[in-house]
Amino acid sequence: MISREFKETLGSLKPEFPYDIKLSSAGLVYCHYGNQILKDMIGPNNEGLLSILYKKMYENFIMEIDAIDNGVNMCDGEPRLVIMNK
Amino acid sequence: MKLGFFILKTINSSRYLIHTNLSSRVGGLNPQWNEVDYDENALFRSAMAMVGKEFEDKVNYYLNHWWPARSIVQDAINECLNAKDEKLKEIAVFKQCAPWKDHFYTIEEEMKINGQIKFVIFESTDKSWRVQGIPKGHAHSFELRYEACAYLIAFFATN
Repeated sequence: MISREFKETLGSLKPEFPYDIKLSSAGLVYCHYGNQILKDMIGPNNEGLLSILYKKMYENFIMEIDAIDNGVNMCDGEPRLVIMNK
Repeated sequence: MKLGFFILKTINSSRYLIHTNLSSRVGGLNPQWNEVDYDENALFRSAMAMVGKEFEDKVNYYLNHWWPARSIVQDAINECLNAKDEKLKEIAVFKQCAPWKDHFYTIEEEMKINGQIKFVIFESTDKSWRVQGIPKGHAHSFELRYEACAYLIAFFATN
């Protein structure tokens, strides 16, 4: 039987990244298509900047979507602040 | 991003809650419980447009504003480390006012000079000079490595 449970993280799919937050569907799309999208935006022959932007956009945009989607707390222990959805 | 509902978890001791993050704004586009006449596809399209714009804006910021600031920070650090006077090796002077903190920590890490530079000076957009202490630990910390005021008084007292 094929498990429908989804457990991948950016770090498990791309071991060069240290991130261990479970991907949301948005994160999964970013994981597979993010580089191409960014490449279209910044233009060709810019591999160095591309990898910097890929990391930056994951850390500062996608990661929190993944975390909120999967109910990952912002900090270990008793949080001082909780992000509420709905 | 899912248009699904999320489980709400509140902690009694919370001082405040954030209601405006992207996930909750997308969630807000869900049909309401007492709405009967809605176009789910249209709602989904507006969610895509909203997230798409935010994504694009963010990439454009990093591409056109954040990234070009890096060389300013790198130049300031290089000059600072090459300063003849030992004391000036703790003060980085930026040629232009730019978003520096993020790059500063990255470059510091790359050059293995963590903690050496204590504060930065730059000319702000209103043409006045500003001194900023470098936050302790990470860019968003309110605590500084060195209180600029005390440092400056000591610096000028001995020079």
